This record gives sequence, structure tokens and C-alpha cells, in this order.
Amino acid sequence: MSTTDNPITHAQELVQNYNQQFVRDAEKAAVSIAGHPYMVLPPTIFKEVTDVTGEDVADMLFYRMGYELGVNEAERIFSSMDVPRDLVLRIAVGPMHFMTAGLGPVNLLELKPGDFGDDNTVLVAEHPEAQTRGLEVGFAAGWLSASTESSMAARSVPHDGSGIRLVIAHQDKIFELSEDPHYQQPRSSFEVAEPRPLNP
Amino acid sequence: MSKQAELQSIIDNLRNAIPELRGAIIASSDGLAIAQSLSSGDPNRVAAMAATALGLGKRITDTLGAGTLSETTVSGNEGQIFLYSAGTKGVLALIAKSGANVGLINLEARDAAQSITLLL
Repeated sequence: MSTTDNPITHAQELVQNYNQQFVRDAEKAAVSIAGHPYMVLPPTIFKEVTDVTGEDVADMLFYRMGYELGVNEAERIFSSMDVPRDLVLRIAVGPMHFMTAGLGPVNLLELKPGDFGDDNTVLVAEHPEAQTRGLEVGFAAGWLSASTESSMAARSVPHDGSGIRLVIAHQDKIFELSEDPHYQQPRSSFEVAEPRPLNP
Repeated sequence: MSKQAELQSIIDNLRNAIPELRGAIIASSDGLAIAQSLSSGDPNRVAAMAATALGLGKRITDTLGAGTLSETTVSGNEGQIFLYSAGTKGVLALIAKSGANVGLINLEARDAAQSITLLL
């Protein structure tokens, strides 16, 4: 089996190749990856915002921020790395890029087969070391929106583990689907995939 | 009837009871649109803004020792937006033109917010 037969391995390679194009230009005080400008920010900014607005509002602000980040990063990487229009591969690149950016590990719990459109397709993921509740959830919704070219949304749901568990589905279905108690079941009832980025 | 359908019927009843309304929306406290009847605006954005405004109000009342926030109003020169807390999980937002019957709006909306609380 070649590495490209396994979407997780393929996603690891794509993200690794993308990050190998990291450039720090001291002359221009600029950082870029594959020619796209980036900023390096300390995670303490999340606490500062939360202290002022409270957790609920901060979660919503971070959700919007995460959503835009997810959409933009997905479109940027799909285009820069010429990522094939394979839905599972495009989805798998998301958590890999998220982890490589230093935002913490992501575990995939469930991906029902489907196209995330009129069916009840759902992706369930966990961020065991989440920095916030909103950024991770919004990023997942944004990344899936770009991957499926459809309007996706995500919600965090109660669970028995550390960090956050999130359910991602089509925007019109998310409220009903995320209320399903199935997604709050103990972690042991899911087949957990723990993808990890390759060392650079 | 599904939960979403029951929440939509609350919105429809409010629109019938208060003809001056320009729109009504029920959002989850994390800012997702659940049921709505809006004449303008993106429901998802309105839901996020309503939940954010009420959440910020709650933060202010908490911080300044003003107790638990139940409702708040945003007023402009052409209209008003009434925001009601529906328990810990929901937000009801009503959009009305200036000069609308505030007494009727509050009466109907507070009852509706209670029903939404029970459903959520």
C-alpha cells in the first residue's frame, strides 16, 4: 500500500511539506508559510479576552475567529499543496494542520459515511488539551465548510474525558444532531483514531 | 413534534401575537440559530450576535453584582431589539420598529422565554 492510500498518512505528508516552506524574514519582520503571511501569537491572549468578556462570550468570539481561520487555512493549503478533491483526505488534513500549528492534539471519534448535505453525516472529534472551547469548535466548522463546500457548524457536547468533544454537521442539522445522547457516550464506545503530525 | 418544530411554533405564535415585529429568533446560548422568522439579516449571524449581547450583559451584571440577567434591550433610532434569557441554554431575540408596544412585547416574550427554557 502506498502512503497515499491511507488518508491520515497522506495528510501527514501534505502538512509536513507545507510547513517545510516556513520562512522567517527578519528584514521585513514577517513570517510566512508557502508564501502566505502568518503571525505567531502567544496562547495567553485567550485568557486575557476571557477575563474581560466571560467564558460564554469568549467562546463565541473564538468560534468566529476559529471558523474564519479554518476556512482560510483550508483553502490556502488545498490550493498551495494541490490537495486532491477527496473528502476524507481534505478532512484529515485539518486536524493535522491544527496540531502542527501548536494548538494541541486532536482525536477523531466518528465519521458517519455521507456527504454532509441532506443526510445526517456527523464528524465527532476530541481536543483533549483544548486552549479554549470556541477556537477548536469554530476551526472544525470552518475547515469542514471548506472541505465539503457546504455550510457546516460545530458544537461542543458534554463527555467523560478531558478537554472538549465536538460534533460537526451541516448547519441546518447541527442543533438536532448534537442533542443526540449517543455523542455524549463514554470514549470507550467509539473507535478512536489518534493521528499525529510527522516530525519536520 | 420535534423540539425544533415546537420552538418554531413559539416563534410563529409570537409573530401572530405581535404584528409590529420585524423578526424573531431563538438561538442556543452558544450562538446557533434554532428557529427563526426574520425579514432581513443572516439568521446565523443574528443568532451569534444575540447570544453574544446577552452573554456580555450577563458578564456585566455578574461583575458589578447586579444579580442574574434576564433580559436586555438594544435601541436605535429606527428600531429596538429585545433579548430574553431562556434558561441557561437559550436566547430569544425580538426585533421591532421604533414605537412598538413594549408592554405587549414583554408580556408575550417573557411567557415564550419560559416555554423555550422548558423545551431546551
